[in-house]
Amino acid sequence: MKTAIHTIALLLAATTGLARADEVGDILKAADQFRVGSENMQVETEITTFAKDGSKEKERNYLVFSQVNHQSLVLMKSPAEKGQKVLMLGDDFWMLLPGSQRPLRITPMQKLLGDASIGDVATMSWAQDYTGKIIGEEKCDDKACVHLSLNAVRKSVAYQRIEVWLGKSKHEPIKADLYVQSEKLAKQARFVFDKPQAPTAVTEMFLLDQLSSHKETRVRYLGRKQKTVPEQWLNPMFLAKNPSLE
Amino acid sequence: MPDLKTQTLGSVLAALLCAPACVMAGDTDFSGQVRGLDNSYSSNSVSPLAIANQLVPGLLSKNTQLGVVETELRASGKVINAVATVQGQINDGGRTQATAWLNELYGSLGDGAWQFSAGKKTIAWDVGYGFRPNDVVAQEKRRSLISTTVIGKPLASLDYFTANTSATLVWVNPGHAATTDIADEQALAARVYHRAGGVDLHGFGRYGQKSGGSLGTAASWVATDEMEIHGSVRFMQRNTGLRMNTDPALLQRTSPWQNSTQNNVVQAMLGANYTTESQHSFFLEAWWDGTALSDREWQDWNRRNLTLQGSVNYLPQMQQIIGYNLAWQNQALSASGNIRRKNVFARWSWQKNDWQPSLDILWTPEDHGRIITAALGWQGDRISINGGLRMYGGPRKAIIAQLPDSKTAYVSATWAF
Repeated sequence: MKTAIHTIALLLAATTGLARADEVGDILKAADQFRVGSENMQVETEITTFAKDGSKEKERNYLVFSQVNHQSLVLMKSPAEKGQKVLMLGDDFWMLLPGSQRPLRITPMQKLLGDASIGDVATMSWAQDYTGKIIGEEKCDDKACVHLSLNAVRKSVAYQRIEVWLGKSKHEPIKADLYVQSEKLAKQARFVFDKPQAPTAVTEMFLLDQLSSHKETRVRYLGRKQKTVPEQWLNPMFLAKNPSLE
Repeated sequence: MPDLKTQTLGSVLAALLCAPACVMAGDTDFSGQVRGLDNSYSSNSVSPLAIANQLVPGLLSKNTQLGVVETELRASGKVINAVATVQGQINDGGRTQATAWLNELYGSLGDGAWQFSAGKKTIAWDVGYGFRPNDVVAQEKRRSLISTTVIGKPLASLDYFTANTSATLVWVNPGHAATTDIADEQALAARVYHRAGGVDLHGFGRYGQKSGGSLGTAASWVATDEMEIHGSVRFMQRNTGLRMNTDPALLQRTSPWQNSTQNNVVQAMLGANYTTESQHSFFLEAWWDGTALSDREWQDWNRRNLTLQGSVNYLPQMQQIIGYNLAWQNQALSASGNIRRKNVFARWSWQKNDWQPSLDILWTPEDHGRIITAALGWQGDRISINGGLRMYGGPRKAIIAQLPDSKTAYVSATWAF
């Protein structure tokens, strides 16, 4: 009898856990819709870094092809980085520097370089890359929101843990704390929408560095459209072959 | 380097400016850089070349300062890609020189799995950083102080791509006559690439008009989040390089360093990258280059240098000929891309916001020679500034300690547009 009760309890717990996992997955998919839209996307991104006094320090432009199964191709468009490309296929990464004409395999740690890491612009999908749990309902500047704690399902994503606060009804992202592998708080993010009262898409994300520079970085989404790239584009050797892929 | 003469500068610019006209309307992309570079060289007073210059004053007119300003222009579209460089130089002797060259001008056809390219193009292969045995098309010079855009080669290439595999066939230097310089000989080269999870696998083959066949393989593996390991090996049927002739005479009328063919030559390299979360990067590579002079040949070279220097005492009337023979000894330094067969290269760098300091050493274990480079780079929004110092040293008999320069200092600034 004791064993039967124990088994039923375990089954119930497992079922509840699955339901919660599904619920979290659905919530994250809704949040991703605000951030990037659907799965196969072409996103134009502008990243601006501001010094502590608020003055503009650096501006970078990227064209990101975000595809299903954790696949992304990032093309650097700013004069200082023009011709550089980063390919991310799951946990595998390559970088192409225009002078070298050959794609170099890089480690997940090398991918973190820069004020706004490649992960900030290319790791688009929370629903694909994270699982987690609902911590509870909280107030976010007089707005009811849901607090989720997310853990990466892959080691190679830019942030291993994300504490995120989403709008209670529509699940639009409001703010997030981004932690690196060593459990240090790396960045704090807040999100800006096209229509603050009835948001349909994130237009800007502000990242405040908490590790070293304490600079603020603005990630602006200049354009989004659906695009499924040919499979050859996701072959590392193809990158050197084709300077312009748009 | 296939620099064009000053009078052709106009035609290079015209070619670059004409290129976009051939590109499909609306798909053209322009960019470029303006670079300024100042190099300062310190001569090595114990090098055979310096001693030859003492014996024959005026034999060597070496500059200690070189200023360079250059503009690199890029244009690309779906069909045509072009890169050209216009350069002006001034040395401490006040001599100025203007040159221009096309780095690349090629056309590509095919948007899908098959691609065909023809023209002057850079194709860089292999997985190494300090040394790349299978870089059999570009044959790029490694470990230069400033990274500059490589000059391509005339070629036609055919590629086939799937999601995880690619195959490339290249006909390089088509139409070139037979030459002893492997970089300029007509050759067919091929590469097969396959991605097997976390490992990149490469196979290489090359058949040169003069050098014959060679086969190679390479792999790069991301072993952990922090570490990447890579290796490469190449077997060559024949290799042509400078070797000392067999004439036993100490004083010779012409340079005793002549092209000679080696058979069954092997090159191999093994390396690793390690990057920490705080962006410290450590790099280690070791390689064997069978095309370089052997330890025995370098011992003979050292012995010959000493004998030539000593002969001044008992053959004072032959001072000039001794000087020329000592100067010819310098040619041995360019017998191969690597001076010594065994090499170890280590590098540390740190990315901290816009700054990147680095320190590296190339060590030759056979004679304990070393090249140490310390550098600091800064990358702004459009401007980057780099500076550093490279020092050549080691025990007196080490070959690196006998190079013509003992130090090189440099500073460069780049503005991208």
